[in-house]
Amino acid sequence: MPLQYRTAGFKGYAIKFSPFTDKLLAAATSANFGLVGNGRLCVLNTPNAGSQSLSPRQQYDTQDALFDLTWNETHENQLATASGDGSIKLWDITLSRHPIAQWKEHKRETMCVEWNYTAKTSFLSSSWDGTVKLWNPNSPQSLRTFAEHTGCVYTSAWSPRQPDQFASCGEDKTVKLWSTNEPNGRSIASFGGHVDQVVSLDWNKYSPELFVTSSTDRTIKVWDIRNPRGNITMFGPFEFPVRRVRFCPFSPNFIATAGYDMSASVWDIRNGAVTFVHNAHSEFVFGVDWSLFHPGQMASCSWDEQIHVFNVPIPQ
Amino acid sequence: MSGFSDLVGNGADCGPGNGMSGLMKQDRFGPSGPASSSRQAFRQTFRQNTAGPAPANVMANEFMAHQQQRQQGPGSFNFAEMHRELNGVQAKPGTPQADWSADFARHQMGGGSGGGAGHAEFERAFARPGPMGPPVGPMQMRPMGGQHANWAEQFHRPAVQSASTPQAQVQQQQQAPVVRPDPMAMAFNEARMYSMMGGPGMMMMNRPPMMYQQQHQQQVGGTAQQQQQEQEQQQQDQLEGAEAAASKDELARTAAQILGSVRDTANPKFKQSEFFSFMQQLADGQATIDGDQVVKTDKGKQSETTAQPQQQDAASAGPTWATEFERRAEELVNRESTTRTGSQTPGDGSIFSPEFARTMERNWAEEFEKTLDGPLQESTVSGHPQDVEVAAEQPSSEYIHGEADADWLERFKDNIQPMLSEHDREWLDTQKEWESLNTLEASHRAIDPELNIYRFHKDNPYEHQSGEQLRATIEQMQRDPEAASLGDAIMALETAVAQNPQDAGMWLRLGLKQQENEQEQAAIAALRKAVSLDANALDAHLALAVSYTNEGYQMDAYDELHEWVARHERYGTLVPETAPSQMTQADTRKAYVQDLYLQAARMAPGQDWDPDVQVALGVLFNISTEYDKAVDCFKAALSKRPDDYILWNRLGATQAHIGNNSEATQAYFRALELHPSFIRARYNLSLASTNMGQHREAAENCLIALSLQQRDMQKDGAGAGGMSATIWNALQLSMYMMGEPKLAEACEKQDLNAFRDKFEF
Repeated sequence: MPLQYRTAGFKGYAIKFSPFTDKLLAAATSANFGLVGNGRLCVLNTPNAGSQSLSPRQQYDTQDALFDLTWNETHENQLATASGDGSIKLWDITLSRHPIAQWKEHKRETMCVEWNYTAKTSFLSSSWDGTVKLWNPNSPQSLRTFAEHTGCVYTSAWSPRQPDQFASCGEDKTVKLWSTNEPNGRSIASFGGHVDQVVSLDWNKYSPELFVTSSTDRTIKVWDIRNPRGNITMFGPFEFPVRRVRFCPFSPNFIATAGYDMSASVWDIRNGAVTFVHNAHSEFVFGVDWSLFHPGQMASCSWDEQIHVFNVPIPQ
Repeated sequence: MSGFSDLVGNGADCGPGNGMSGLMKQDRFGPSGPASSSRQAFRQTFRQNTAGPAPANVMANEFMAHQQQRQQGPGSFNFAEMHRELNGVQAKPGTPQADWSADFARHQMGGGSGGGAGHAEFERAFARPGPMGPPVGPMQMRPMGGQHANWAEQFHRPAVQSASTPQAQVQQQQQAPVVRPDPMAMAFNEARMYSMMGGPGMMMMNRPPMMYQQQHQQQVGGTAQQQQQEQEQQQQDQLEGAEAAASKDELARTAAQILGSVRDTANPKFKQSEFFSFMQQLADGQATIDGDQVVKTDKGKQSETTAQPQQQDAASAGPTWATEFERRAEELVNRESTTRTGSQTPGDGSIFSPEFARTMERNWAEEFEKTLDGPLQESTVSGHPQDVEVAAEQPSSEYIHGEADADWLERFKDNIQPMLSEHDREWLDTQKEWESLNTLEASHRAIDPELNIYRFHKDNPYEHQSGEQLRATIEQMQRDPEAASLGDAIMALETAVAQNPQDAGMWLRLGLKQQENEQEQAAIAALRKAVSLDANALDAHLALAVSYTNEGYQMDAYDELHEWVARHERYGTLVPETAPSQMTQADTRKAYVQDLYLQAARMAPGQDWDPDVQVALGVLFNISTEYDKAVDCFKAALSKRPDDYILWNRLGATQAHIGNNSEATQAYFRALELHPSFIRARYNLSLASTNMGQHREAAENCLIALSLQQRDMQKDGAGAGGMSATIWNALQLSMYMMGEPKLAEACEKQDLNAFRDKFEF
C-alpha cells in the first residue's frame, strides 16, 4: 500500500524528489485538469522525515496551471515551476507566500523546466511556443533561445555527462540534441522515427549516450546519440501513450513510466519486461520520479488528486 | 560518426565536453525539414494563402498581415487558424490546452476506431479514391461528432465551400496542392485546436467592419489571386460569426471526440474516471468553460439532481459517462443543426445535411453501445501496455462500420489465401517467428544493402599504372605514411583491387585506409569483400568489428569479434562447434564474447601475450562504454606496438571520453609524431585543447588540419575532404570563445587566409 497524500481540487502534473535531502518532495498541480484555472505547488515532507506519512510542508497557489517543476541544484530551498501562462517562477520554500523571481518570455504554455544537474547554474524551459530557453536564476532575461522545433516543445532534458548538452522533443515528432556552446543556436543533431508527437524524454544516467522517449504514437523508444539513423530499441505500441519516462538513477537498465493507462510502471529496457506496476491511481498518471537517496523509492502524482510514495524492487 | 568512431577507427569525437564535435558531422535538420505532419502542411498552406505577398498592396490584406505579425510576434508560429477557431470562446489568454486531447485523439486513430461511423461515410461522401488521393469533388458537408476533418478542409481552401465566385473557385482548385493531408490526421489536429480554450489573442474580432466592404469593392476588378485572398477573408468573416456562436459546441465536440477515442478500451478504470465524467459534462453541455472557470450550465444543474444518485451508484450501474453517451450524441446533433442553420449565412445551411449527420451519429452511438455490451463490461483485462494484444485482436470498429472496407478486406483475404503457396506460408510463419524473436533485439543490424557496395573514385590518377608499378607505389606508401596523402593512398589501393578483385589482402588495406579516412561505409564494403574472399582474414574481421562499432551496429560488431576468436588458430578451440544460446540473445551476447576474449588473454600469459586480443578487448569495452578498461587494453597493446599511430589516436580518444584530456593530448602527440599529417589526430587534439579551455591551441590545430587538407585537395583534387565542415565548425567555436567574431564569420566562408594574420600554421 503506498503512502498517500491528497492534493484536494488539484490534479497532479509533475512530481520531483529534492536532490538535496530525502525528506522533501514537491508536486506541480492544476485545477480543472489543467484546462483552465489555478495551479498549486505542493511541497511535502516524505516519510523519511520521521513520521510514517506524507505531510504538507508548504503550498503556493498560482494564477495559472502548473505543469512542471524542478529543484534548484545550487540551493536546497529553491525550486522553479512552469506555468500555463508561459511564466516561470522561482520559489523559496522557507518563505510562505510569493515567488522570489518570475520570468515571462514564453508566448505560450511552458510545459517543462529542468535544472542542469551537472553544470548546476542554469536551467531550461520548454514551451508550446516552440522554443527552449536557457536561464540563469540571476539573470532577468533568458540567456539563449533555441528555436528549431516546428511545433510545441514538451520536454527538454540535460545530458548527464556533457554539461552543455541537452535534448528536446515535441510536436514535430523529432528529438533534437543541442549544445549551449553551439554558436549559431542550431541543434547539433535531430532524431526522427516517432510517427507522432514526442511527449517525454530522459537520459540514461549510466550510459550517457542513451536516452529514452515516449510518444503519442504509443511507443517507447531508446536511442543512442552516436547513432542518428534511428532508435535502437522500441517498445509498443501500447493501448495508450506514456506521458512521462524517467531512467532509474540506480541502474542503467530500468525506466519508470507514467501514462494514460492510469498506472505507473517500471521496465527493464534490456528485454522490455514490466517489472512493477503501480496500479493504485484512478486517473491519468502524469508525474513519476525516483528517489535519489533510496534505491527503488518512487513517487507518482495523478489527476486523481493523489500523490503516492511507494517502493519498487530494483534487481541489479 | 559516433563518439566511438573516432576512437576505434581513427579518431575520437565525443570526449567529455566536446560533445558536439562528433555530432557536427551529421546533417542538420533545419526547421524546414520534411513536412511530415499534416498540421505543418496546413500551416504552410495557410501562410501561403493569407500572409503571402499580395501583388498589389491591397490595404485590407496589408492590415491583416500586419495584425497577424504583431499579434504573433516574430518567429512565433502561425496559429492564426486556431485564433479564428477560438474567437468565440470567452477565455482569458494563455489558458492551457492540455495535450491529452492530442494524445487521445491519436490513440483513437492508431487504435483503428478512427471516428467510428464517420470515417467510411466521409470517405464516400468525399468521393475520394484513397485517403491521400487528390480531391475529386468539393466537399459539401460538415462533419459531426467525432469527425472534424472537413472543418480543417474548409479553412484550408475556403473557395470550395462558398461558391459565390466561380472564377475564384476554379483558381483555387488549380492551386490546390496535389497531396492533401490525411483527413484523419486533420481531425486529430482539430481536436487539439478546440480543446485549447482561449489561445492568445482574438484579433480578428476587432477588425473594423468597413474592411469587409473594401474587400468586396476590390473584388470587382481584382486579379484572380486577389480574389482568392478576398474569398478567403470573406470566408473568414463568415466563419467568425459562425464560430463565435459555435465555439462552445466545438469544446463539446472535442470532449465527445475524446470520449469516443477511449470507448473501446477494456481498462475498467476508464469507466469510473472523473476526467471522463467531466468530458461528458462538457460534451453534453452540462458544463462549459467561462473565463478561467468551469461552470455548470442550467442544464447541468437540472440534471445534477438526477444524475447524482446514478453516479454514486456507478460501480453497480455501469459506466456513468458511457451510458450517457448515446443520448448526448443525439442531442449534439440536434443542437448542431439548429446552430448551423440559424447562424450561418444563407446557402451555408446546405453545407451538411442534418439527416446524414444524424444517421452518422446514430451509427456511432449504436456502435458504442455494442461495445458496452461486449468487452467493456465483461472484460477485466487491465489496460496495461502489456495487455494490448488482447485488445488489438478484437475487430476494429472501422471494419464493423465501413462495410465497404470490411467487404474489401474479406475479399482480399479470400483472394490471396489460395495464392499463398505452401512454401510462402512456411516462409511467412518463419518470418513471424523471427520477428517475435527479434522484436526485443536491443540494437539494429547492418543490413543496409549499400554496405555491400564499394564505390570507386572516378578519374583515378593511378589508373594507368601497371601492376608492378602500382605494387611498388603502395608498398612505398605503406612504409611511409607521410609520403602520400590519404586520398592518394586510397586511389592507389582502389586501382589495385580493380586490377585484381580477388586480392583479399588489398581489400583489407583499402578498408583500413577508408577507416582512417572516416568513410565507414566504404570501409565496411571493402572489408566485407575481404572477408568474403578469405573467411580467415582475421584482421579484416577485427577491422569490421571496429567499423560496425563506429556505426552503431553493435550486434554485428559482436558477431565479427566472435568470428575472430572462432577462426583464430590458437583461440579457435575456445569456441564450441555450435553457437550457444548466449550468442543468439542480445542481452547475453556481450558477456559471452567478452568472456571468450578474457579466456584468450589468459591462454597466452607471460611475454607471449597477443596485442590483438587486447585491441579486441578494448573495442569490446568501448561498446559497453567501460572506457577506463578500454584505456588499459589499448595501453597494453601499444606496449607491443609502439609505432601504431592509429592505436595511439584510439587511446587518446578513449581517454578523452572519460575526461582525461591531458593524457589524451599526450597520446595524440605521439600519434602525430609518428604521422604528422594525420588529420584526425590533429582534430582530436584540437578538441582536447578546447576541453581544457586552451582555445588558441585548439584553433591552431584546426588550422593546421585545414591547411593540410587544402594542400591535399590542391595536389590531387580529391581525397580526405570529408571532415572539413566538422573542423570548420570547431574552429568557429574557438573563435567565438576567443572573442573573434570576425574570424568566426570567416569560418562560414571557409576562408583560411583570413587567419594568417593572427595565427601561424
